[in-house]
Amino acid sequence: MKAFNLQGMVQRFSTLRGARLMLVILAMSGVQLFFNAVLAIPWGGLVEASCRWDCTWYVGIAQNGYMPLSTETVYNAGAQKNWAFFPLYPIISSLVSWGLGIKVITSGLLVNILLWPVIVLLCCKDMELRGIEVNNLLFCLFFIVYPLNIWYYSQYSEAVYGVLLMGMLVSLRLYKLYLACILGFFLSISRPTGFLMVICLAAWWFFTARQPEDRSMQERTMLDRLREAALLVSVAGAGLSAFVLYFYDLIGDGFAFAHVEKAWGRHFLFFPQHILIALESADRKIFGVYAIYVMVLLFLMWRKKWMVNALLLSTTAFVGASTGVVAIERHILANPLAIEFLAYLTVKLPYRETRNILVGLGAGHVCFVLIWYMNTFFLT
Amino acid sequence: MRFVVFVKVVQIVLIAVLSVWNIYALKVGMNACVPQPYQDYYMRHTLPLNAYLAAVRAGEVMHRVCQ
Repeated sequence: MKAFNLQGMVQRFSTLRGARLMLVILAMSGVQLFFNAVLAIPWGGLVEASCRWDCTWYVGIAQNGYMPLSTETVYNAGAQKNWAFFPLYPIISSLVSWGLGIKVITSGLLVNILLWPVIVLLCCKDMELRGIEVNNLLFCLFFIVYPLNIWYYSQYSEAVYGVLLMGMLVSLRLYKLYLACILGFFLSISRPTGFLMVICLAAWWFFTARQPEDRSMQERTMLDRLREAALLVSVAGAGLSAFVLYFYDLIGDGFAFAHVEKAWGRHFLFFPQHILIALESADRKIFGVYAIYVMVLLFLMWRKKWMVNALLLSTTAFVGASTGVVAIERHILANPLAIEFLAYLTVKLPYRETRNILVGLGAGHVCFVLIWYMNTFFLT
Repeated sequence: MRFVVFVKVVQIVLIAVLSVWNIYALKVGMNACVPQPYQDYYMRHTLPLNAYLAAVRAGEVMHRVCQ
């Protein structure tokens, strides 16, 4: 009888594309969901266990909208308001909740569970469009076992943001400018760094984007590229502008989403200072460690010439770390661009080493899920 | 050729219209209409939290105020 050969099977599935790849990703995500749900049983089930930290803010916005000026909350005796959270994810959660007749806390989780496989698929597509050949099965498996993907199975805006960011990048690589514009519009109202990402992508498009395969469009002048980049920025800016005007109408401060960060203790400093402050503090030391790991990751990314990923993540890290390093692990290490790079580094190793790393990450994933459910200040 | 020119014109018009919208939002956003304690706590960072909360409880941070 022939022995079961795992390496051979992995090789056979390494060149999966399109619908078959999507099916495999869905199957893997299903297994991940099952394990997360089993681990959540002691906390009353997946929906309750995954709702930690910012989840209550998002659910509150989806149910009651943004707080008016006079509202006093129980958090930090009144200074913290839900203005810091961008509206796209609560709007989608609210619409799904209304459409399916389920609670917002459940619809918010459902949205993320459905979008996570799309992010993995878009990252595979990005690799394919860049002409980087990897074992797709192991590449996708890395995403599933990666310990810091917990926010894609929680009521957070990471999944919506990830889909829009990767969708916009892939659209531009495919020379689908109008689709990229629409995605950019929504990206700018998905998270505070969304509009910055569009500006970075527009700059990348202007300076270095590949020529389209369509011959009639290949002779593009600098003015053409400038016009296209301006279109991307102005459409995305329109989304953010609508949000600014909404806040001006509600409370009189269009940039309340930025100003309210003060209530969370965030203020501008040169980012190494924030890292040192975190390392010296008793309860935020871990975020200083995360920040150092982020710096190493960004250095590797620039060194390997993953220019777009490095540009987008460096901008996010710079802006995020300049106001404080709390949650930097979520902003950078859980970003699909970072996971894509780490997955590439892993699957490029010899098979035995890749397998060992994936097994280690799988064990780490279980630990991180449990830490998340425990609601500690280790992950936020 | 005509279609390419038409697309370019539409894109330029779109950029112009949206830029006006964006500049208007920026201008409005830069001129906040908020009470003084709000400005001092959230924007200038010159008011301590306790003093801000006292102002909230005293009803000084209830509505938009254009100064």
